[in-house]
Parts: sequence; structure tokens; C-alpha cells
Amino acid sequence: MRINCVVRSFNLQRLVTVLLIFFLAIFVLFPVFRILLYPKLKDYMIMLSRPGSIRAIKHSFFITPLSTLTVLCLGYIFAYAQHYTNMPGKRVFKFFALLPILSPPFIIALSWILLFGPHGFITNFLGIRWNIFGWRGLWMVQSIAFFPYAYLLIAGVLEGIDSNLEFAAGNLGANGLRTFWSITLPLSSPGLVNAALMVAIGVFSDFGNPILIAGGWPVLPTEIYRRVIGYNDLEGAAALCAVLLVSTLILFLVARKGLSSRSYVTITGSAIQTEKPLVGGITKWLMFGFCSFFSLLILLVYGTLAVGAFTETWGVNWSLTLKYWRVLRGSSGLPNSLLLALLAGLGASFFSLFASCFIYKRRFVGKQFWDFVTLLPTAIPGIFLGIGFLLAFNTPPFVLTGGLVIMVLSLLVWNIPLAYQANIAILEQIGPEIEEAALNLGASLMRAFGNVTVPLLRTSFLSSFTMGFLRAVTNLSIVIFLISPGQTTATVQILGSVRYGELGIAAVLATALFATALLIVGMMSFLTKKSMDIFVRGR
Amino acid sequence: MSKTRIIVLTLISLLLVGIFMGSTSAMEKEVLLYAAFDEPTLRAITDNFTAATGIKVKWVIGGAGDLCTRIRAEAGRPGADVLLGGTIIYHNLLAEEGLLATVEAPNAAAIPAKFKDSKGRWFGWYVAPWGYVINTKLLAEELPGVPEPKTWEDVLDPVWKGHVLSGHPATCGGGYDLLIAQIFRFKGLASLFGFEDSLTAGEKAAWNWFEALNKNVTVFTTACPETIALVAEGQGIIGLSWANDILVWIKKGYPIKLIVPPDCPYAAGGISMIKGGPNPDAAVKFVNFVLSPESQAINAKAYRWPLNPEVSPPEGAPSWESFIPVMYDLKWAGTNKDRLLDEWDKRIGR
Repeated sequence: MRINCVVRSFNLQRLVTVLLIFFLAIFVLFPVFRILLYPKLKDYMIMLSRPGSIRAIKHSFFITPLSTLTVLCLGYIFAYAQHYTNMPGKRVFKFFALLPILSPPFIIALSWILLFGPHGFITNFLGIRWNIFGWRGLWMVQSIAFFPYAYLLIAGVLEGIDSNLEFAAGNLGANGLRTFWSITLPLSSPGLVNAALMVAIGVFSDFGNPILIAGGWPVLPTEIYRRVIGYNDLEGAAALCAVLLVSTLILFLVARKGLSSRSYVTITGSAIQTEKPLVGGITKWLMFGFCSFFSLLILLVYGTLAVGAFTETWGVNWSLTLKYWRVLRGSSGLPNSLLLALLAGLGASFFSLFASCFIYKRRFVGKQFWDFVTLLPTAIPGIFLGIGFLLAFNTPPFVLTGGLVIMVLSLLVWNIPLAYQANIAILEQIGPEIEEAALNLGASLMRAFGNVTVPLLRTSFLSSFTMGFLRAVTNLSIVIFLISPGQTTATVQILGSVRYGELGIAAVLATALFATALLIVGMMSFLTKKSMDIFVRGR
Repeated sequence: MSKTRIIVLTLISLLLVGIFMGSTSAMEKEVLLYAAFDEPTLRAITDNFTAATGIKVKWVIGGAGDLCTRIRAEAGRPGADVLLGGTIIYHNLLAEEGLLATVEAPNAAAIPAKFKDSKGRWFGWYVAPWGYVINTKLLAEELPGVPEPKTWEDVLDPVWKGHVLSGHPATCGGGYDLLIAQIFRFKGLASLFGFEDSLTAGEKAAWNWFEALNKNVTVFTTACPETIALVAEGQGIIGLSWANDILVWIKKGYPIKLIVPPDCPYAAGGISMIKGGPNPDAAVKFVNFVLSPESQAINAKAYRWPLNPEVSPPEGAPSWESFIPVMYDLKWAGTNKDRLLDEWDKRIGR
């Protein structure tokens, strides 16, 4: 009887693993190979000889380090100020720092044009002349749009640093600056490297911001989009997609390698000192000034949109109106976005829950490979995923185009690595002992999974669901290729409104999307009883 | 679980259920559109159609080039029934590629032969010229005393450097119409001067014109109306875009005006039925409805000049006769598209 039970659960466990692998093969590997094999060798050669492609590649390799470095500096200062000073208003700053996560990134570009355009609000006020269309504008907008991710990742690392070392340095006579250079910065460097690579991948594959603000300055994702829609050149676009993927893949592999080889942050059983040595004096107030300035900037960006949603005609007629809010009635964009995001967020969290137990924790032939495939979507740029799904699931054997299903699946796949990493981070800290104990006490594998592992992963499930939801609801680059009549999303509608110059409608949709996202995050953080900390810190 | 937690969970599930109910409403009779069109006018036309026939209409709005790519990618299994809007160059191209179905539309009889396919695969239903939108307030402030551009040559003056916006020929139909129109405008001049191969000479001259224009342009926008929005909001002095869209923006109260130079590009907006779409019967009804005087009158309110002569032209707009459109070869424009866009990539490079 007992043996029987073990065998049965063993098979069940195997079945789950096989199902997971099937899913990964169809929805991750198949679209990737479909794109890579779509262009022939000739198309790759043509792509490399086209001046437009070369220019886009050059631009991408110029803006990515620039924006990434800026974002890292901003994120580090913000995170440091949060953890190492007792400056006033820390909670407010934290709130503002996370706001950009709640909106589609390209909304910032829209607002930026209104504020800092050649004749924008601020520009006129200051009486200066500059051209924000091009790399300067893109640089500034990306710095705000990707800042929260760097902030979150760095804050997580700073929090994990055992402050006993810093106190020890202080006791030995090191001043604040020296402690920072010789203890805090080196200890946070792995997190910094990780944040750098994650932000770099995001900037490199950013589509919404460059298409709005860098009209005359193509980067890889916008060039790909233009090849597809302007030139009807799927081969050329796919070849460029391959360049994009290989670049992000290299970044991703470096990130993995770098992180597995050195980990300075030790989480041991012994009590970790989390009380930080505080920085005071001028430094503190400089940081306060910086955080205030940056928070004001973010407030300005979103305030502009909110005002735009209630203004008759921006820049001409400032009378208040509610007429643009009528667009929400009978529009399928917003409900579709929410539905998609809920399903994709839940799906990714569930998938990752199973994957972390039935792929990551098991030993089987090819395990390393499938572990890698589960994390692979991190390195897949949104625009690549969108085109990949379009090419892969528009012809038999898998016909899925023309509905919400394909959008849910693509966003789900895109969110898997995030949830998977969050689960793994927890499982790594816990170690296998508890589960082994359950097995030794006679529990079946399934029972150990249900009674031990799942409860342990509950918080990471909720946090990765929230993050997945937000990423999906604000996504543009994937869904833009997968929408069908009546099945559009709020982000696509916003882009469309901007293009037809309907600023009021765009502002209303953006504000509504933003408010809903904020509501959901509020509910989730209430459920998890932790304020904004539910955001995934990642590895 | 505390009480409040249960309440929040219930709220979330209610939200979920609500969304599900909203998205799975009954859909027996419907027609699906790919529309290169503005949403308010589209809504007005389709509301009338639904009221008359009981058939619901759903759509995706996109650039004409964008939607054509989708239609090609989905060949054999199209995601929509009808392509609405976009210049007839695109419709003609799709027809030549065998992607469009033949429609017998009684209302098409009133459309001039020049603006519809002889085999009934596509129909033009409105025309609009392409012109300058000028931000007069900004012009007076920034470049006082500089006269407004009146011809296609005026905009090349270096005085406009950094003040001009136009549409990108690869992504917006109008940008491509401008490219073609310039080629055929110079072709006309070349044949006047007795060039043997006037088309080649015309194209060469057109590229010189664009290279000069490029020096003054800050952004080639991905969609044409974007140009007007940017000029209206004061991000540039001159924009090149559709006259009908410009008139809509003037009505909103911005300090802008429309100038249509002679030899202007024009485009006839088309409608066609995609071959193999999911609702062919409803699609035929819809195409016929769009060609009707009723729908064309709605469209005229958005300042598009109706091609059905029974319908009066847009109120408050210049008459169609006051424009001098440059005539061009529809087929040549379609078959040379890839080559011209590659050439654009080489010469203009943005």
C-alpha cells in the first residue's frame, strides 16, 4: 500500500514536470526559433548592409549605457537615502519613487513633451530653447521610467547588508565616506550589477518611449516596428529581432554568471543587524533636496496628465470639462487590459509556483536547460515576443491569433521569470531541509509540495502576482502586434489617441489605467499586510 | 482571516466576475474592421449602421501600412472583414495581391470611375488634399516678418530650419502620398522642359527636394495627425499633413491655419472587403452602407470631401475645386513602394 502510494505520487510529479516542459517548449522556445529561423541567411546579409539598421543598432548601443548609468545613480541615491538617513518624508519619497511602475512607460514621454517640448510649459517658463526630440529627450524620459526598478533592486540589497560591518568600520575610526567606499558600496555591488543588467535589458528593448519622443532618432525596437508596419518586411524585422535578442541574451547570461559566482549578502540563521548607521549633516540634507526635486518631477509628470484629462483643449482653452471621460463608456480597452493582466499575472504566478518545485527542485536529465528556458523570457524583448507569437501561432498546428487568449499567453510567458526568480530566492534561503524532513516523515512528494513548499512561497506568489499584473497592464510592445477587432487594450488605445492628437482622451485613459493599477496594488498590499514592500526584489 | 480581508477578497472577485461578464457579451451578428480612421467619426458611422441593421461593429484602429501588414500576415485566415480608410494606393495593392473580395455595392454607382476599382474590389469614398498647417502665433513670435510658405519650394528656405514637421512615408500613408506627389509634380515639370524620361528625371528632382526638406525637419512623425497636434501645441511652426485633419484642429480653437499649395498631393480614402473574412454577408452590407450618402454626410463633418456627388461638401471648408491636386499613377505608386522606401532609407535615413 505504501509503496503503491509513493509510485503514484512519483508518476504524478513526473507528469507535472513533463507538462511544464511542454508548455515551455511551445510558448517560449517555439516562438523564439520561429523568429530566428524566419529570415534566411540572405536576409541577415541585407539587414547588415542597410544603413537604417546599422544606425538603429548604433543608437541602441549608445543610449543603453547612458540611460542605465543615469538610472543606477538615481536609484542608488534614492535607496541610500531611504536606508541610511533619518530624513523627513521618507515614506512620501518611496511612494513617488514607485509611481512610474504603475503607468505605461511611454506616458512619461507624452507628459514630457507637454512640459519640456520646444514650446512646452517649463521651457516657456524658463525661456530656454532645446530640442528634446532625439536622444536627449529619450535619455531623460527613460531615466524616469526605469528608475523605480533600479531603486527597488538596490534597496533590497542595501537592506540585506549586515550593518555590523559598517558599525565595526565606524568603531575602528573610519568616517562616513570611507565606510561607504570600503564597506557599503562593495557589499552592494552584486545587487548593483544585477540592477544594471536588468535595467539595461529594459532600456535596450524599450519601445513606447522612443516611438513617442525619438521620432527622428530610431533605436532597434522602433526600427523593427517600422520594418514591419512601414516596409512590410517581416524578414528584415525578424533579422533585427535576432540582433536584439542576442544582445539582451548576452547581458542576461553575464548577469546570471556574475550572480552565481559571488554572493556577498549572507542570509544565515544568526540575527542580522538591520539597524543602519545613519548619515547626517549636509549629506542628509543634500539627499533630501535631491529626493524632493525628483519626487516633484514625477508629481509634475503625472499631474500634467491628470490636468490634461479635465482640460478642454491643452494650451488653448483651459476650462474644465468631463467630456473626454465619456470615452470610458463602451470602450473595451480598459476592461480588456485589466482582464488580460489579471489572467496573465495569476497564470505566471501559478506556473512559477509549480516550476520552482517541479523543475528547479528536481533532478532530471536536461534540468539545467529547462531552468534556463524558464528564465529566458527575461532576456526576450517585448517586441520580439509579440512578433514571435504572431509568427508562431497564426498558422497550424497552433492557431491562436485573433482573441484574448494569445495576449494572455504572451504576457504570461513574459512574466514567468520574475515570479520564478522570486520563488527561487526564497527556496534558496530556506534550504531543502524542511521538505526533506517531511519526506522522511512519510509524506508523499505532492503532499510535501502542498503542505510545505506552497505555504512558504505564499508571499512571493502574491508579490509576483502584483508585479506581473502591473507589467501586463502597462505593456504596449507585446500586445501591439496581437490585438484584434474589439480586443484592443488601453495602452494601444492611448498610443492611437496620441497619434491622432487626441490628448484629452489619451490623458483620460492613462489616468484611469493608473488609478486602477494603484487600487489593485493598494488592495494587494492590504492583503499581504506590507505596504509597498510587496514588490519583488528579484535576485 | 480577518473580516476586512474577506471583504477585500470579495471585492476583487466581484471585479473579476464583472470583467468576465463585460467581455463575453453575446456576439451573434457583427462585422470586424481594420480602420485607418479617427475614432469619433468611426463611432458615428457605425452607430448609424448598427441602428439600421442591428449588426454590431468592432474595430482595430491603426495606420494604413500597419493594417495592410496584418492583412498580409493573416492571408487566408483574416482577423477582420473590412479595411476602412487609408489611401486607395493601399487598397489597390492588396487587390493586386489577391487579398480582397469582390463586392457588389449598389451605392458605389455614384462614385466616379477614377476612384473605384473596375473589378469592384475596392471603392474610394472621400478625398482630401495635403497641405501646410501653420502656427501663426508662433510664427509671429519666433520669426516675425517671415512670410508664410505658399508653394512647395518655400518650405525649403533655411529660415525654417528646426521648425518643420512632416509624416514618415514608411509609416503613414500621407507621407507616402507626399513622396509620390512630389515625384509626379517634378515629372510634370520635366516633361514641360522636354525630358525624354520625365519620370526618372522627376524622381531625381523629388529626391533633391526631400534632401533639402530633411535639413529643416525636426521629426518625421509615425502618423500624419501627430504632426498637426505637435504644431498646434507649439512644438513647431510648419507641419505637413492632411487638410481635413488640419480643419478639425482649427475648429478646436488653436492659433493655426491651413495653406494648400498648388500641385498638392491628395488621397482618396478607400474601403474594401478582405477575402475570407469571418462575416462576409455583414461585411457586404457594411461596405454598401459606408458608400451611402448618409454615411458620407457624417464623414463630411470631419472635413473629408465626399466622393458621392449627391452629398454636399464639408461646411466651412474650401471647395474641392479650389485645390490643384497633382495627378499620379496609382499602379506605379503601388509597385514602386518598396524601392522608393529603400531609397528613402538611403538618402534621408530617418
